[in-house]
Amino acid sequence: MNLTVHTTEQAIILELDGRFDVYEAPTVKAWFEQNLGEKPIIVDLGNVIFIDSTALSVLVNAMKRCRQAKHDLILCGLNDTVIVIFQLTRLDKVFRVTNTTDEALQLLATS
Amino acid sequence: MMTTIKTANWVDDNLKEIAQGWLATGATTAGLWDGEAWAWQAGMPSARHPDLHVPLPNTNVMLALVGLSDAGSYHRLKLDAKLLSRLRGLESELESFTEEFIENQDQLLALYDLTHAMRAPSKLDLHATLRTIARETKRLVKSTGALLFLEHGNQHHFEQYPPQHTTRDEGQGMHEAAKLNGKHILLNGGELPDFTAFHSIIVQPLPLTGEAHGVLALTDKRDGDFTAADLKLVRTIAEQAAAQIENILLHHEALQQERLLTEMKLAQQVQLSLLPQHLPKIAGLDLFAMSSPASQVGGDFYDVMHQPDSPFTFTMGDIAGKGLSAALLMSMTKTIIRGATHYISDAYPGQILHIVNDELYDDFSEIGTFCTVFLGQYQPGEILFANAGHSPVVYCPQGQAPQLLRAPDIPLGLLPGEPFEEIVLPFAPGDLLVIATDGFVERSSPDEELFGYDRFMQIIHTGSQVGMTATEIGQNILYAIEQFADGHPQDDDQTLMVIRATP
Repeated sequence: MNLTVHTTEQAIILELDGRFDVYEAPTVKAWFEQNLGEKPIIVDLGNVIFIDSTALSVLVNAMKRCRQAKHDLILCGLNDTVIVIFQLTRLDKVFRVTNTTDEALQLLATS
Repeated sequence: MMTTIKTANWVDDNLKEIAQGWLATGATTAGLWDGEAWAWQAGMPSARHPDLHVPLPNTNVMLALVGLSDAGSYHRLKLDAKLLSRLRGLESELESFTEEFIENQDQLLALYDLTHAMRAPSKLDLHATLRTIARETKRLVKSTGALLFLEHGNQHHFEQYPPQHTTRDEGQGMHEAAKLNGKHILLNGGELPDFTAFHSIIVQPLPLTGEAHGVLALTDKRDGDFTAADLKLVRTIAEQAAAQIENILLHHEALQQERLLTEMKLAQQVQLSLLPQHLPKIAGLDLFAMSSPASQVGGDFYDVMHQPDSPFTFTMGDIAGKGLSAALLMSMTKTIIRGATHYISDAYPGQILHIVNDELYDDFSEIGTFCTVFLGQYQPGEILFANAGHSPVVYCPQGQAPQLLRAPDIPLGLLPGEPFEEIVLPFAPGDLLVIATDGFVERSSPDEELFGYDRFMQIIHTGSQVGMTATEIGQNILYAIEQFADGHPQDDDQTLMVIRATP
């Protein structure tokens, strides 16, 4: 899976590309460990074709730690399957989710 | 090839004996004549031009006689010259064979020394082995220092003897230089670039296979320059060293694999040992349940609890993540659910999940994961349940289409102090409740298609319409998923519970 990072004044945008599963989770976890805490993070899952519970736990953990550092972690670009998973497991109640990166940035600007 | 040979070379026992033979035959003087003067004589000293002389092949001297001049003697003299030359040749060959033999013996001894040293207690310790090789090579080749630089995956290893002789960077530099050169490097005297402090070096690539690369390098030959013989010795040592290094690297890899396998096996054992051994008989219910762990265990569990004067309670959950920590968290979660259910009188499902969440919040946060749990209680005619993020849960009332139930609450371990609500599900004869873990809907076919909710619900619908038993529906789901997967292995645990109100 590929990780692409863009930094704006407001936030760090992490774009993930490919399968986000138990094999790829450690790489993402390591990235979070290095990059959490300074700015809000937007995770763009637009090109993620598959996500499993290990990946979800990495996101959950990152989100908790971001919030501890008084920043937020927003998810965007979820495809239909992932949205269904989030709704069924009520993770949609736990995360802030938008459709696009721009909407996520707007959300950060207004909060 | 004409060789100007120092005459002294030719004056050996063979020549002297031939000369004596001629003197005995009647010559007065016998010896070597260079065309103008006698280079060596036996018999009566004479300055005369010889009466007979024949050239010694490949030289500028002649075998010569004074006192005989007949044709027969001339013929004999020619033969003598030939024989002398041939003898010379053979002696020279013998000398060179002996030299080679001694060299080979030396190499064999060196190798023996080396293997012996490597067989010492540290034989599977990479760095100790590299140090031994450096030390022995320096001794055998008689240089002032020796080093090994090894690149394996993304790790670098460096050892040298004596310690502090040079720097790691210098070692890496030699490794890179050998890579660029494509083969060994041997430089002496003025051939070395100015920036290095050494006056002679040999850099020999190690013949490693696979992803490992490295060099064995010698610096500053004592008493002179590095020779071709030194290079040959270093090459032989390098072959031996490479074999030993590969052994060690393979061994480490095998150990790591074993460790992983052991962890996986342990996790599976934990998982399997905690599954209910049998399902209780509950009046009005037809039950089926199974759980099959994936090779990388994923923290699924289910449990059934039935005590006198308490409603039949059933639960299923899934710890996010894989491996031993998922299995251990699973066992903790299961235990606390059981504890709360048994020891709190008249506990409601939502209450139980609230307690479990609070109890385990710190542990889940520490490990950085969460857990979905469905907990249901059956009373005749209805099921009361709480659901912390668990899916898929399919409710199929008799004669109706199946519905995918959305969890009312978030998974456990995410937020402390969360309240969990209860929902009442009417459960009349023929009604079905199927709870599974995402290992089913996420099972993939060889074409990377997911089994999905639709197929899952379809089988349940058919089962309901045809009036199959819980076991029959369960088996159908299992069969369908294996057909769909068509050999593609199970990535995640698969856990399933089918509850049917008996008609």
